[in-house]
Amino acid sequence: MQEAFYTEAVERGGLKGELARLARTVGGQEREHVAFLSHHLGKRAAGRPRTDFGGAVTDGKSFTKTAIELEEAVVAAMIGQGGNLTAGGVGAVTGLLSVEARQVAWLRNLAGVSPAPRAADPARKAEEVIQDLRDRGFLA
Amino acid sequence: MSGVTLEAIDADGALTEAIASLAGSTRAGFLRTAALGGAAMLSALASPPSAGAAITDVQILNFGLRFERLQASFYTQADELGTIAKMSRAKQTWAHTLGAHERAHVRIIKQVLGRKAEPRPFFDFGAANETDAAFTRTAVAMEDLTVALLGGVVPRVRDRSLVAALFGLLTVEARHAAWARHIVGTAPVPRAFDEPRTLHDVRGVVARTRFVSQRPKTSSRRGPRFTG
Repeated sequence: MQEAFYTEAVERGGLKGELARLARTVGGQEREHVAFLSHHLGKRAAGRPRTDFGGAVTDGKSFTKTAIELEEAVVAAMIGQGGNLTAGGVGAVTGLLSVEARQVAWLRNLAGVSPAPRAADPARKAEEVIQDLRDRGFLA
Repeated sequence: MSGVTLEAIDADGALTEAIASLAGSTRAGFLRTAALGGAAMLSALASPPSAGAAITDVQILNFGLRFERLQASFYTQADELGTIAKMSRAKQTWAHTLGAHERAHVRIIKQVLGRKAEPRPFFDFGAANETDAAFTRTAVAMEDLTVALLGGVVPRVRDRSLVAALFGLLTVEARHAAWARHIVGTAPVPRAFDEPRTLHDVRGVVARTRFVSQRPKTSSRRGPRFTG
């Protein structure tokens, strides 16, 4: 889903300067994450979700706002899954979780809001996050 | 790269001992003269644990506590020395936020450990937090280092209920690292994964990177050093 979001944002070409650089960098990193997780999960990997970001990727402001919401949701859901992972799963997720957090900090920096608004990031249930994204119309 | 070595800061060896419990004593001894948060140190800490090195959750939490204390002391001391007050408004906000978070992390981990929390180690930052430039350089290295350290220990935690809590601290450290990097104008997210995908022999890595072989000179004439 994140990969699709950044790919769409880059293809539409509405982003300028550092924001365009961010979309290209983060998009490439999300593609690496997808490849890594698909490899790690093998046959257990779920199919590619159908996404629809509508007008959320057309200009810098809406892109930044949506990207922050998406990244924050992903970070919180991954934290929430922490206790459900096997030791191998924790090992696999740790190195990309911190990258997701770096990405959202960069986005927040460009949006002019605090990159680290809390001393400890909260956890959210994965199902709740997915439902939230469906309600927003991003996920089919 | 901070230019500061572990040896210079780690006055009583507490940090080296913690790194030894994760990466093995040979590597830890070797890293004492490597630049704090430099490529050699990050690679060594992200490598798999040395064979047979059993580590308990209490050790892991105390390990995390030492590094949170290292950071908390660094920011608190910079504040007390007046280094932060001389910075731009944006950097003051950054430095104060990071300091407050690191102090909160110390409290959180201490609370989890209860009476099993170790006493505070002694740190010697030399001149590393006395000027804006040195402070900023060291902060960037320290935040990247903490991401690598926490990333290295979380997969070794046995109590599953601790994982989510430690994840919540790890992501904040990663935000700090990205923020710090943005401030100095380097890539906030330099890689797709916060660990090397291929494992290098640490000796080879150190040989290929900037290697600080001497204790950095300090112009500091301060009185008593602060403790963590």
